[in-house]
Amino acid sequence: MNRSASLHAILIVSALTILPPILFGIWFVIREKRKAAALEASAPSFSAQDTAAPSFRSKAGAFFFRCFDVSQRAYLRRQHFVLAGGLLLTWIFFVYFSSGLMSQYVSAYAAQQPLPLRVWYSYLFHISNGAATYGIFTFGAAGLAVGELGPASAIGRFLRTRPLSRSFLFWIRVGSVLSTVIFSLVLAAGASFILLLMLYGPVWKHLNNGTQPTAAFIANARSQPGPSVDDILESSRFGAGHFAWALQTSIPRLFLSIITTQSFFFSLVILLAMLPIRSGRKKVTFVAVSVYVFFMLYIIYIVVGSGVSPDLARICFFYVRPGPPPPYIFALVPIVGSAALLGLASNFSNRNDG
Amino acid sequence: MTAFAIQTRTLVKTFGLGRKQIRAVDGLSLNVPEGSIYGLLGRNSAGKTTTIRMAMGLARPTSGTIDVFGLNPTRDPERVSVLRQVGYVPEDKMLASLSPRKLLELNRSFYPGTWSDDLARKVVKRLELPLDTSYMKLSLGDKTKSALAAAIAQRSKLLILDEPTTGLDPIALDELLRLLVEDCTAEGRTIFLSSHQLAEIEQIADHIGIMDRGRILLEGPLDDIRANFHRFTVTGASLPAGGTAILSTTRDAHATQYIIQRDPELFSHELTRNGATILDSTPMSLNEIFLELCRTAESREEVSA
Repeated sequence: MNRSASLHAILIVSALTILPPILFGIWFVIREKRKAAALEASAPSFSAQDTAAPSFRSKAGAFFFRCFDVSQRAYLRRQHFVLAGGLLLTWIFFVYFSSGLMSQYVSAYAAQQPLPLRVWYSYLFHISNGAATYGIFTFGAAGLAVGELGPASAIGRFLRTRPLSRSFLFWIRVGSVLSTVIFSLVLAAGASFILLLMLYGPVWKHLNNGTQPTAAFIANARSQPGPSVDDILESSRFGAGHFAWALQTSIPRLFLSIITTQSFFFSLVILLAMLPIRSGRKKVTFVAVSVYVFFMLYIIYIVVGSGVSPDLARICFFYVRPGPPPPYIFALVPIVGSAALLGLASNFSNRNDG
Repeated sequence: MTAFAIQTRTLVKTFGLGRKQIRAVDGLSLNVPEGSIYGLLGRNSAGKTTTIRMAMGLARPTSGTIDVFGLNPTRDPERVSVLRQVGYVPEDKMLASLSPRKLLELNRSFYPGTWSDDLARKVVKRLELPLDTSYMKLSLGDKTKSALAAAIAQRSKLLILDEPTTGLDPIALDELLRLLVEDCTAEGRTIFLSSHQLAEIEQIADHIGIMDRGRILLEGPLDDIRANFHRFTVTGASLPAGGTAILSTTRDAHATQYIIQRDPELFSHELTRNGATILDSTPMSLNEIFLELCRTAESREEVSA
């Protein structure tokens, strides 16, 4: 399994990483050429699409759109740009989630340990350690949402003078971008998990080769006084720590933590952007301060999550390294926090017109 | 009873606080009749754009009221109903940063019930608007044309145009004025446009309002205003020193010049009855009326200060 599996892994992961942008590039060039040809051939006219009576491919779509008036439908249709961005985001997250499956990473951990354990640990470690990367994309996605909301951008000003209520504009825009980010994370997680199965099979079932301490032993050791079992395991030159963490890690909670934490920071950026600062000079300073605040809080999140304050990390459902997971109930903390931040941001957005 | 497309009552809008506070609009009362072409004239910083922004729900009044078709444009859901009935060209002409074709297509999707492709094509053709030039490469005039085409083709009940002649060459300007008169008012739509280009406004407007320092100095049908404003150059022993009809008086060694803002015939009659000799009596152009009103307001402000 070892050599051929490694080769397959390199080939498949490389192909999945490189092929999508190449295919997208080819599609984009063809599309632009067709568009240019159509423009040259046509007299000044507008597209033949009849926007007055939009057709729906599915009954569900028709039912969904029937709840909105024509202007709202026009704005909802505009959100397909977000979905296009979501595909790109899915691919980026997928590449990141799957990077731990590359053979060079797999072989970087405790060569004495069996391959399934090394694969599983490498996979979990890369997913959990990507907090900084996810943060950058969350910040970018929030910026994309804000770009259409505020009066600072031309499209924002255009939309604010169309027959759409301020709260509709806010919630549809923020909702579509946030749900796209979440959907991208879920889709990428699912795809990377399928890739793991395709390449190495259900490795989590073959972690224990008989020479490792059992989960019960680790749990028991934790409850005893004396040196920390984590320290002992971590200092082990034979990768026992890897085993223990890999065994204890809850992959659903790992992904849930990524989603809830990113949602919280997304909401934070939206709130900072919606605060009613009107003077132009103050606005520039405020944007700089907001970016600084965001990244400082993000660094604090990573530091806390990395073990500096395990209790706080548990309460906030921060889960940024393999190991014992926080209880599900604490996922409500970032979820409620996000809802509160977005509620406040919506309030400010409604009052943002001078 | 006259119905009004836009009506304001002692409208005030201030920016800033304390000493830095600016009263952009200061107790403005406007009446824009439905179906009229209403020109809002004023110098720079007169408060025209702020008034328009309040009408579009982009700014909230500090005090007073503003109604568009009887609805409050600052509060949802009335604001949405207002925006359904209004086409808008902003002062900066920055509408969505799209090529003209994309802007027209996007705008059409918001107003499928009233939008006219034929009218859009007509405006594009007559204003010679390049449809597929990217926004970054568009000249200021083309951006203005693009915003105008989108707003006109929308065929809304009310068209609000903030400085719609910015960057337009004389031919495009002439075409625009004709389009506004022929195509927009024919359907009974109201056009509310702000400008300091008096000659263009005078060509098409039937109602005007003159604003200065956030206040309305004069408002009414253009024909009435033209008929009321007169310049008299007179000599005589017992000339009137003041009166509500007299806007300003200038005396020199040989004669006295009066600017009259109402009932010029009555004033002329009284002058001759009192033995004065009228050397000259001429109606005033809109430009002259505007200058005279602004100068008088300025001098009164200086005196009161």
